[in-house]
Amino acid sequence: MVALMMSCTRQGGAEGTQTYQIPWPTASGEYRLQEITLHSFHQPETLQGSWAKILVDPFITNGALDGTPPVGRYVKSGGVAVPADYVSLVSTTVYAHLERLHDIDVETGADRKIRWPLNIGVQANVIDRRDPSTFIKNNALYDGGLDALLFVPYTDKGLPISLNAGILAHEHFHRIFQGLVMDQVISVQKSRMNSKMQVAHTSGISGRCMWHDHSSENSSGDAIARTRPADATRLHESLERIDVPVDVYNEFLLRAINEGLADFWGWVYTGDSNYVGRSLPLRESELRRMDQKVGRLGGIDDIKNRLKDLRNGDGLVSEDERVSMAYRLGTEYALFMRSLALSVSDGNEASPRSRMILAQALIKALPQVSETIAARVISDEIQPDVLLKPIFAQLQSVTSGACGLYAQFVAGGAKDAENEVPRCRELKGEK
Amino acid sequence: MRIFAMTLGLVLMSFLSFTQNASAQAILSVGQNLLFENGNNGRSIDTQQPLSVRGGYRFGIRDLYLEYSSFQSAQGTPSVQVVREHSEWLAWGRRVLAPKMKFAPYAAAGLGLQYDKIETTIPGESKRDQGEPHPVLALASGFLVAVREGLELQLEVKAASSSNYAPNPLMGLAFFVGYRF
Repeated sequence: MVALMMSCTRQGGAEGTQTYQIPWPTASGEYRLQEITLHSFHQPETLQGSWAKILVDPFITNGALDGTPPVGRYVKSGGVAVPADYVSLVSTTVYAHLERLHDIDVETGADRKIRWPLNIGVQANVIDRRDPSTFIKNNALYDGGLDALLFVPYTDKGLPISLNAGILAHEHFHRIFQGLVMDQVISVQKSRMNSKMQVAHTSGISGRCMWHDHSSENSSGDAIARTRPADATRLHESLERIDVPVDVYNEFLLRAINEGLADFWGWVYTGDSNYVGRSLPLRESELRRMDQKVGRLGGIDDIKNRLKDLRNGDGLVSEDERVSMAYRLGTEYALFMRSLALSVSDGNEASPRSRMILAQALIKALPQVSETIAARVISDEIQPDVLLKPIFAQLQSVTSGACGLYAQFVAGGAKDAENEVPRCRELKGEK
Repeated sequence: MRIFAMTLGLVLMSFLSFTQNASAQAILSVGQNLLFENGNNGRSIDTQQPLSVRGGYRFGIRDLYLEYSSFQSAQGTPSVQVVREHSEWLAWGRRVLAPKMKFAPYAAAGLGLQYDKIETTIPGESKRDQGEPHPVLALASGFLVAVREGLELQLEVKAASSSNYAPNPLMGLAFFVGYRF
C-alpha cells in the first residue's frame, strides 16, 4: 500500500515542498501520524495547491462551489509542519492524498479528462434530501454538477471519512468516471432527447455516494425465498409481468458500475481490503469488504428482477432502495476487478504493480465503454458485462485464471470465456 | 530570532537594575482576554479566551511589567482531536496619560514571544509537538480605574502582530484586576 501511495512523478515546484505530520496508513492499513512530504501544496495558509483548492464550509454561487479563502493553521516543529487545528489536519491530509492520486492519474492517463485543480469542500453543510431540515453527517460525495468533492462533518467513532485514504480514492474515481464516461453519456442524451428532466435524472448517478448503512434494503428475491412453493410460483409470475423501464434499469446499472469501480479504485490506491470498515459501521463495511469471493453478475433479466417489488404500486423497489442495491451490485464488480488484478499479475495483493496493471487497463477501456453506453443508454438496456470485454482487450497478458474468472462472473461458469472474449479465444488457440 | 531574544534580555536587565535604584511599587494583576481569530472558513470569527498574569513595577505614571497569557482550543471528532495550547510572553511598557482622572487612560507597547503546543490524537496514537516561537509586537490602550487603596481595574483593547497570526494584527479585549503593593 505504502509503495503506491508514495510513488510519485513530481510536478509541483520546490516552493511548495514541505513535510507535514498527518494521519497516514501504514503497510498494515492502520493509521499513524507520519511525516509526509508534499510538493505542490503552495499555499497551506489558504489550503490551496496545484491539484486542489480546498474551501471550508463552502456555499454555492451561480452553480459553482464558492467560499471565502480559508485559514490553515500550522506550527513548525523541527522543520515539520504540524496542523494546529482539526480542519487544517483534515484539509492537509485530503490534499496529500489528492497529490498522490494525481500522480496515479498521470500514470494511467486519467488526468487528461479531469479539470485541475479540483474543488474540495470540507466541513460542508449538505442538506439531507430525505429531511431538508437537517444536514448530512458522516459522508462524502462527489457532485458531478459542481465538479466538487464534498466532505460533511463526521461524528462517528471511527476514522473520519476525510482521513480515509481508500474512501478519498473512491470519491476521486467518480471524477474519473464522470470525465471518461458520464460526460459523454449526458452529452448524447442532451443531443438526442432534448429532455432536461431525463438528463438531470441520469446525471444524478455521478457519485453522490452515501457512506451509510444500506442494511435495510429489501429485495423481491428474498420475498420469494420466504414464500411457500405454490405461493412462490404465483409471486414469480406476478414479478414476470412487471416491466422495468429502460431508464430505471440503465440508471441502476450505471450507478452500480460507477460505485463498484470506485470501490476498486479505493483498493488500488490502498491495497486495503477493509478500508471502508475503518470509517463505517460494521454491517456496511462487512458487505463491502474487498476480500470476499466473486459472485455471479447475471444478465439483464437477472438485474431487472432485483428491481421489482410487488408491494409498491409501480412494481418497482423505491428509488432509495435502488440506490442501496446499486452498492451491492457495485461490490460484485469491485470483487471481480480485484480478483482479475490478482489473476493477471503475481497474485500478491501487497504488490502495487499488480494493482496498477488493472488500473491502467480500466482507464484505457473506459472510453470504449462510454461509447457503448452512450449508443444504448436512451433506448436499450446496457449489458451488465459492458466493461469486461474492453478491459480484457487492454490487458497485456491474459491468463487462463482470468478467463475462468470471467466465465464464473458473467454466467456462473455456464459459458466458456473463449466463446465470449477474443483474448481468451486467443489464449486457447495458443495452447 | 537570536537578535530578538538578546534585545528582550537587555530590556529586562535594564528594567531590573532600574527597579533597584528607583522608588518603585510592585504591581500584580490577573485578567481575562478575548481574542478574535479568523475561523477556518475565512469568514467567521473564533473567539479565544486567554487568561493572563501580569507582574512588574510602577514608577509614577510609568509601568514596566511582564505578561504571560495562555489559552487552549480543541477541535475534532470522538476519535480524532487536535488540541492547541497557545502561550505568549510579553514585556510591556505603559504610560498613564491622565493619572488624575477617575478613568485614567493609558497606552502601552509590548514585545515578546508566542508559541503553540499541539497535541494530535488519532485512534491508537497521541503526539505532542512544541512549535517554534515567533516574535510578537503588541500595542494596547485602555483605562485604569482605582477602586480603593491599592486595588485597580484595567479595561483595554489591544492589537498584536506576529508572522503566523490570522488575522494579522490580532485584535483583542481584556479586563484585569490588579493590586499595587
